[in-house]
Amino acid sequence: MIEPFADRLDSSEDGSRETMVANAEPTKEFFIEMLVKDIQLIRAIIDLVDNCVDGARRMRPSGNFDGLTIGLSTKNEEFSVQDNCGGIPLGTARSYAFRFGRPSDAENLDHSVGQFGVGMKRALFKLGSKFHIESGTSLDHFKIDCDVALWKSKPDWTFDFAIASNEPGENIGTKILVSDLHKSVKDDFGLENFQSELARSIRDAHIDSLEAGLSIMFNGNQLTFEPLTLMSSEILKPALFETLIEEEEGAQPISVRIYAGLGESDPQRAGWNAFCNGRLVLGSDQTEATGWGEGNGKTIPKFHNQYATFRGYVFFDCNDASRLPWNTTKTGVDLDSSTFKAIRAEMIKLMRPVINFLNHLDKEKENPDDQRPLHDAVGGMKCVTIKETSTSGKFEYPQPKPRKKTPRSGRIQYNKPIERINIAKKILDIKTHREVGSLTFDYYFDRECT
Amino acid sequence: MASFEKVNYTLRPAKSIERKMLCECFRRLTPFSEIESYRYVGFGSTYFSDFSLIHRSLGISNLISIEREEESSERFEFNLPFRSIDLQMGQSTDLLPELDWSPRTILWLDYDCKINADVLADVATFCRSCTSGSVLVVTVNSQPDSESDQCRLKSLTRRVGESKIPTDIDPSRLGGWGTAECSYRIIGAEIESTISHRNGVLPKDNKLDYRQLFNFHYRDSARMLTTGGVVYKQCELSETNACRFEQLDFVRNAGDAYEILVPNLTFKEMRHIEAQLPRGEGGIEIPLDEQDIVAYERVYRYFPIFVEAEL
Ligand SMILES: Nc1ncnc2c1ncn2[C@@H]1O[C@H](COP(=O)(O)OP(=O)(O)OP(=O)(O)O)[C@@H](O)[C@H]1O
Ligand SMILES: [Mg+2]
Repeated sequence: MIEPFADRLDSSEDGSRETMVANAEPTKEFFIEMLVKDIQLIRAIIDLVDNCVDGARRMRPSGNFDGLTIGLSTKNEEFSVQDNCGGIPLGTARSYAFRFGRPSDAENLDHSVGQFGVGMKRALFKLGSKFHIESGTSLDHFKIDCDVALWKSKPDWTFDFAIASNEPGENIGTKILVSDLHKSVKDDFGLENFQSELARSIRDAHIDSLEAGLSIMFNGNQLTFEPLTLMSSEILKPALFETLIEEEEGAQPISVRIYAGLGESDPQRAGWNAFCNGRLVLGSDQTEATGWGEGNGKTIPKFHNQYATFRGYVFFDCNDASRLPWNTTKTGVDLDSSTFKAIRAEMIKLMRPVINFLNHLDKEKENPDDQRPLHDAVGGMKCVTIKETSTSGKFEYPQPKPRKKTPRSGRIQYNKPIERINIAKKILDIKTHREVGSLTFDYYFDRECT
Repeated sequence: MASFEKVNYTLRPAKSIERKMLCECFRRLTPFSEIESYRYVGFGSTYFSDFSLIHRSLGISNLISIEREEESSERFEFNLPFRSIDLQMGQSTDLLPELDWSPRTILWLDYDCKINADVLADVATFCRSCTSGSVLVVTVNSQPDSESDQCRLKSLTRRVGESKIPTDIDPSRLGGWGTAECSYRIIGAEIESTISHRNGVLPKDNKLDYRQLFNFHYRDSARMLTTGGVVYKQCELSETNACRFEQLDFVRNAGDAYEILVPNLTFKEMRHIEAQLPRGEGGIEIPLDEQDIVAYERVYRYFPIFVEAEL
């Protein structure tokens, strides 16, 4: 038998205890080579855009981003992102921006996207092995040039700066350039499909900021966007649930808004979208994470194309970004957070009536074309931006008429010699086997069963 | 004893006793609000026995009956015993999520079927939405599947899904009342987890608790389980305690079930025992086993009086 650990320590001969320390220092390899495996390239690049957006928010707390621009380029075997969103203050650069992980005394920006203190560094390592950062505020200006291989080989955890005071007229903003791109990154950048997916993902992630006037240029083209919309009319209104979560005393409240309703039929875009501080973290989700298939499919069915018009939006907003239920790569919600668990229950409550309506709509397909009142009702309906929707909170929809009692019928099938069938056909003056069956049955029933 | 003298079991006396016991318990909800202001939601079928009792004896008139046999809706409508019953046609899993849950509600999910994913979906819907002071009652058929032990566990798993089966279930213990005990645990776990998720974001005083009140076993033909209880805000603990549910001897807060036993007595025997109840000093003089007398003594107040009559 193994003695309990504490007992063995106590019973050492002279009663003295020896203590040792185990080395728990992080390695640079962990950040350069391992952390980057948990994030996709597109997501890593969006992290850099997130930082520009935070810059814009710091600069314009009013939320009007007119005139602010972010430019991205994936051409010429390099990657660059450039903004005019205020720049990185020298103090921040020295004590926080390049640290791995947010120290608890770091200054907080209200309602920020940045939270964990890894996004930029992870993206740089993910992209390539040399980077150049230049950033200027109205006061000063700094530059960093880093060769990752050299940095890895030196023992200290610092980056060297070149500082200058800012000349009037010089750019206020940040430019990041990554060269010596990793092979897989170069390959991806060469693909048309990758380019368009990256552009679309950046647009979707930051619809909120685009709506606020931010301009994003991708390889020279301005990203256009469509605002989030839902069907809304006199007879069909989306569901809306709003709450303020103020569970702990002194903690910043989280405001939550959930919309559920209908949009254009599109199986790719159907599902739930979750935003944290205006940043999309979960797009068109059709999985259990957002309630699909809940209760073995009885509470909410699994996603199916019959729900291709379903749209749900959930917005979490909090001044203190650390309270938001997202994961560190911002590619999903933190399913274990108590906030998300409770909100997921509300999402399920909101989506159920929408699912009921879509089921009614689906059943109606069995009716002849001119007896589909629900289809007719939603057929020509327009989508409006979610801000313009009118709602009483509850999902309101045209009620299906109760189904009329139709006499139940059964099917009879049998085989008879074809010559005999043909004789009967002739006498009955009809064309199909089916009619022969039906008329001969009627003949019998009429004589024997009435 | 000739069979014509016995209670007619097609009249389901145990069910009828259970109904009255539940009603007696609902009557105690007054610390939350007047019982007349509650809403009752159930599956009235064509008989509406529970609705009649609830309306007559508690005065509740906000009544909703859910009925899934849409083809016979006219027949259900014809049989409505009171004008104020709102008959809603459709599946409970579709309709319950569409109800407005702000009124305090007594929901009786009185299924004929065995526990399955639909049952749990309805339980979760209630727990996700109900207002403090609301009561949930769930009845399911708990007759063991007449198969081998492993098959019993498999068919149970098929009905509710693997993740809902308690890890320590012993397949050889699903006979007798074992299936009822397992169903009881599965329902309890669903209530617990749904409420815990909901509590995640509620401020301390508004967090919800569930107090189990019912764990009935009975059999008119198949073995049946009824479980349930009241959901209340933690700041309404004193109201909950003021209901004094524990004064009712059939109330159960844990896994020990109350079995509704219906002794097989003649009408003459029943009247004779009743005349000496509540029991005084001495014994009751009657040529019957003491256990039958005790069984009747426990339920006589709730025992149905059967008369053949046209009402
Ligand atoms: N374009 C930029 N404009 C202004 N500040 C920037 C910019 N890029 C980076 N920063 C500064 O660098 C810091 C570090 O960025 P990084 O992405 O590594 O962490 P974060 O944004 O705080 O947290 P997260 O890991 O959640 O993204 C930011 O908090 C910000 O202060
Ligand atoms: Mg960041």
